[in-house]
Amino acid sequence: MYKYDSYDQTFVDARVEEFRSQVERRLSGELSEEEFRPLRLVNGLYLQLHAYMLRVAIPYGLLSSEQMRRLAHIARRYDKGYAHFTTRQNIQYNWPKLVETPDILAELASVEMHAIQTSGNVIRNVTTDHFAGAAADEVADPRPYAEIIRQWSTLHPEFGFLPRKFKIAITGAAKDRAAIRWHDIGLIVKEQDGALGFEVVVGGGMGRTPVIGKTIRDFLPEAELLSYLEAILRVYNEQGRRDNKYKARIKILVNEMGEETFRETVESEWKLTRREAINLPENEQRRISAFFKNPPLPVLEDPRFTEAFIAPNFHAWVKHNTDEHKVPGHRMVTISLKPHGGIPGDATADQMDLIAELADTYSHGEIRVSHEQNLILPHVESRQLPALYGALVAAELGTANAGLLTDIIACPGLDYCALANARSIPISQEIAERFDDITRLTDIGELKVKISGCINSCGHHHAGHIGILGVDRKGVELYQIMLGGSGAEDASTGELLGRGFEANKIVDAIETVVAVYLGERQTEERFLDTVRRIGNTPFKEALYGTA
Amino acid sequence: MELLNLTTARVANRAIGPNATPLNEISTDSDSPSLGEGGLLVWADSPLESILPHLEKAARVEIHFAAFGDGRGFSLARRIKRDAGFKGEIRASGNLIPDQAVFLARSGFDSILVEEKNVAAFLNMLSVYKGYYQRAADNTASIAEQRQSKVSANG
Amino acid sequence: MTRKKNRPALLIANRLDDGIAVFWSPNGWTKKPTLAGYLPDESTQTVAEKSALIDVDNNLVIGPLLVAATLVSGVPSPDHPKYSIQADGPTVIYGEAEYNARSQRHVSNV
Repeated sequence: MYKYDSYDQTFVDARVEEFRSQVERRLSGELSEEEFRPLRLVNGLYLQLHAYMLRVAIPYGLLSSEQMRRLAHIARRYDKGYAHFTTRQNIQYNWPKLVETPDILAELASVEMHAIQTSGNVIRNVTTDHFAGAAADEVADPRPYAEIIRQWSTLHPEFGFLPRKFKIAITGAAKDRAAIRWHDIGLIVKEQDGALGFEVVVGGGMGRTPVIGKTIRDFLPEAELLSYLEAILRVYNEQGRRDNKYKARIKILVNEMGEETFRETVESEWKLTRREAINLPENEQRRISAFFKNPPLPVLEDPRFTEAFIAPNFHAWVKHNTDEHKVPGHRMVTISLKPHGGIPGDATADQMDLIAELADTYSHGEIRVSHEQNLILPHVESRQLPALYGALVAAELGTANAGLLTDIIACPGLDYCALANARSIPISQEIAERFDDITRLTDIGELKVKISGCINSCGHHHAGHIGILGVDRKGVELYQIMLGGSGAEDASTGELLGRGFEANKIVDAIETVVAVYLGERQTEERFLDTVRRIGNTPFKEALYGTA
Repeated sequence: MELLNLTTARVANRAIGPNATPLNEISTDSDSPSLGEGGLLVWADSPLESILPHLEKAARVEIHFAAFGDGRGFSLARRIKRDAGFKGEIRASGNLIPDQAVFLARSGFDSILVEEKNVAAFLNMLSVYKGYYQRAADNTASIAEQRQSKVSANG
Repeated sequence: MTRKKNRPALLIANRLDDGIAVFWSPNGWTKKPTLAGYLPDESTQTVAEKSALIDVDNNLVIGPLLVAATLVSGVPSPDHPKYSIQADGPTVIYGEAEYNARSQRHVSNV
């Protein structure tokens, strides 16, 4: 992974001291809240309902065991002993004090971490495939580019006050595990005539108006990445709407300009930006790429796990929670942070320390944050899986539900968030407990349930096979169901089934939806496939009676 | 008001000069005299096309920020310098906070009009960082370039 | 930042230094909604609002808001669940306590 040199370290250290003085100026009243708010946001500090929340950047989801230990320490020392891993590969603390945040940032800086630009109207954390560098289906490792984009976007002087937040994602595999078509800019690394480059997708996003991104360039040569991004951002900065917060994302601009006009405007700006010294010199690109070489991984034979190894659910766990590594005899392991009845994506400080230890023992000290609020140990030898599984189960980290119905993505919702209309955590807990049966879950198969507590869609409900949106009607929480969304390379928006269900009825409704699927599915059909084939009508009828 | 020179990081009040002429008050008559020492006053959201015709006659352009969060002013300065090749002074005024000082300097602004009580804060913010990751309008070498020249220097 | 309502209210804000949600009362800010100043009409609400804004200027609190409330068994309580949650904290147990409670409750099948 990328290692700081003195330039990088000096930079984050300066950032900490800058924020420390900004906090002092706020406490003394020299800065008003209105002036301070954008400054604390670009250091990751939100105000939630009953406390601040600090969102720490985990660049493209990549974490070392040393960093994980520090994150655990911060949870203990400055927070309430736990933290939450997010859908954008970051980590959130729910109870930091403003006055202690400079110290937290200093702790982070000492392990080459920060909270720069994780909030605010700026370019946010660049996310990528959580299996990058390890996946068997990878064309090229996207992480060097993610790091290059991270540096270019950090404190970019022209783009510090965009119309709204800006999210970039990049993938390098055939399967899109980074939901790039749901981002403001999505990049797909590809090869053309022996050279590497990118397909550039712009204008995806969720929120009130879900939109799938449009390809504005089929192939951008590798060396031109930054100058092209600069052109897109400049067009957005100049022409994105600033009159209405809910119409300020680039997806609205692309729609209002028209895809073709938008593309032409970017391309003509790019003719100018590519003449300036914006693109990274080749030797710097090579220097950065070198950090992402994998540790030495010997080719091994895949062991046969005989009955003698059996711990309850071990085989189910191998089947659901491990994936094919490009080096034979290895697996990529998903640590589920969705224990049934638990809070999706949360981990205690003790669990975080344990995961750091397991990463050292089994995964060369490397951890990833997935897009589904889980953690990944990317380079595990298959023969070590039984021992690893045993250690995980003992710490409630061995739930064999990755990709299954109870691997629910849920935003923090009204329990934490000032923007929310309804709670999402209790609903996710009840669904998981209702389906607490590995045989049943395995039979149902791949089913991505995503819950958002409001239209801001932090739970990505538009991209759920089953999406659930919490709404508020006169102080009563209601839950609407939509079906058929996808965040993968076959990106699609879920379709609303009908009126919402009360909290004590929503789980029954989900059971009904699943029952319809089980009744209608053909061989090998995932839930999503069945929905796409039969449409919403059979589900509507089952839930609401004849349409 | 004081004038902060971003290149020297010093106050330069002798250079404040007369007021700039607002864009919407300029005569479009081609025989009209040059704008005078005060130069041209535009806003963060003024379209570049309406500014370009007057740049030739302007010694200075002042970009006024009605709200500090209106980031269009930064791109406008960049364009005035790059697209129009403007060689005169680009000045920022209006609703600005000290924490924007570096962003202004690196987006092509030469000076900022600030209230006296804020001068120290603006000057402090200019010296926080020793290097930046990306190339911008001010032509300071990026961290990558500094890194590479150090490598070359060390042979 | 504050809104007047034509009904009884509480005034809620967050402390600047640690973000904790607090209620205005004549005796100062309190974390407990049960000790909050119950503001039955516009004149009491105006008094509270003026006092809260002074504390905003003095950098003690941020985001003061008047929220509709009722007396429940003589104790002031926000009407909308959002503000009860703001007062009382998350409706779910979290962290170490949640981990321990779950381990004791049952062994999941999965």
